[in-house]
Amino acid sequence: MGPKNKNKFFLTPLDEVSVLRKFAILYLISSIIPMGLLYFIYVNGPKIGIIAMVLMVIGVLVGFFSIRSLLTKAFTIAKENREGLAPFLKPETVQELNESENELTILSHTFSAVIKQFDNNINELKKKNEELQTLDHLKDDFVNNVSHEFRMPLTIIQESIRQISEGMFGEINEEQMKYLHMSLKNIESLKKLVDNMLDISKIKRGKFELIKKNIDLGAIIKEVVFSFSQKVEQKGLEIKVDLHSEPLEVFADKDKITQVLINLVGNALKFTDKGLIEITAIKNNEFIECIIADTGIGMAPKDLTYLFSDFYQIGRWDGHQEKGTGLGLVISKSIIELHNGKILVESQEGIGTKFTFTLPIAVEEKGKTP
Amino acid sequence: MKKILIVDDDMDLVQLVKNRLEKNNYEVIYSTDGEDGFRKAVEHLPDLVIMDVMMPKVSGGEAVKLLKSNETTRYLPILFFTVLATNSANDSESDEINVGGRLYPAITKPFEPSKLLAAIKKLLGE
Repeated sequence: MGPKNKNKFFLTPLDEVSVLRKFAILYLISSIIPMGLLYFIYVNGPKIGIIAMVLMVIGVLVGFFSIRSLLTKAFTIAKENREGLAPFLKPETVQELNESENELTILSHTFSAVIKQFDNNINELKKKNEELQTLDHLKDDFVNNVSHEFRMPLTIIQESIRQISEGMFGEINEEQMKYLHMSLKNIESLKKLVDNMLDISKIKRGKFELIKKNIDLGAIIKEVVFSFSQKVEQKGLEIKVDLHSEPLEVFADKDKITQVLINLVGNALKFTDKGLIEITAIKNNEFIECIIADTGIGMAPKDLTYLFSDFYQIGRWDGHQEKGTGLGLVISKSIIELHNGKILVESQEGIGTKFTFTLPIAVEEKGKTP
Repeated sequence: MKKILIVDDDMDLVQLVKNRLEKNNYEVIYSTDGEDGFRKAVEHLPDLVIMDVMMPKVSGGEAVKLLKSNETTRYLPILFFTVLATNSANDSESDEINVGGRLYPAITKPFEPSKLLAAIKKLLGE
């Protein structure tokens, strides 16, 4: 091997001369030690000297055999796997490796090849990772475009059916009305899905903008609870609101926080058949903590793992529930995190679920006279 | 009876908005492209123009520029019709869109008839 092979991932294989040089050094050391030993005997008397000598010989023998067996194993493995190394070595090295019977040469080439292979694998992983990131961006672009393209036909379908159901083109009988309403309800879900997908796409592109102001979280909670009052009554449930102080001012985007509360309270209602939903809001240092706890069906640990992932839905197939989009919680989590808050979930199957989120308290407005 | 001009390249949508507005006692004229829309505005002098943003050939933004450059149509109130909402929240009262550095009132598709009518009433000062 010439010195031209200076790639830092290659070990320069030992040539015959340097091997000889190493053995010469070993020989010198091994002749100096016995001389030292003779001096030791001369000083301490023959008895202790002989014990020391015997121990030393044993030590040397043990060392020799263990190293030899280790090296033999390494050599065997290296020799047996010579062919597999070819793709990772230069052609001339491969030839040298195949012809050589010098064990050290084989071993060092093997070592180089293994390291080279590592290097290749890491580069390959880097490339794969880049490809995946590109694909992820493409997916986001796709979702964004599709969502926009959906809006036009949805508008036409929705408005047509609305106008028919309003009797704009003639009287509608009860049976016909039933199906028109069914269509409108489904168009509404589709619209919600499109809106959610657009939100997700904005979040992923970093284009989800917040308009933050000092707002009263308590008022929003009451508003959201009020909007659900009909549904609550229909299911024979109860919503208890416990605000520890009023107002509970947070620095946040009102529309977006309303969206989060609608999502969390809506979920609680959807998955609770008896008992109550408790909403608590309390000031905790620099944050307002809001807890939404229900006595619903709860979730298995498996569900909790994927709860905040895109399009994840917890199966509940009794046919009466309106289907969700599987995006609500992902969006809620992002909204809370964009506010520098946190969202947590605790749940037990058959007992209930508890969501907790935090939002920073209101900031003092500058230049505002009391 | 107030006169409203709808400019949108989607004839299906034009028909539906026309139905909706006529039902609410407005007189409706329409056009399916920006340039023709401008000509119709000059000819009929409506009380309000509902303008789509993305249209082939002459876009909504360019059509508005034409309207603004003409003495007779300069002060016509304009309501944009768009799929690109600046405010995605469903319950926020008024959406706006930035066209050529100016904010205009906008209605997002899919639209709520009540919101569309409220925006029209506001712009007409009714």
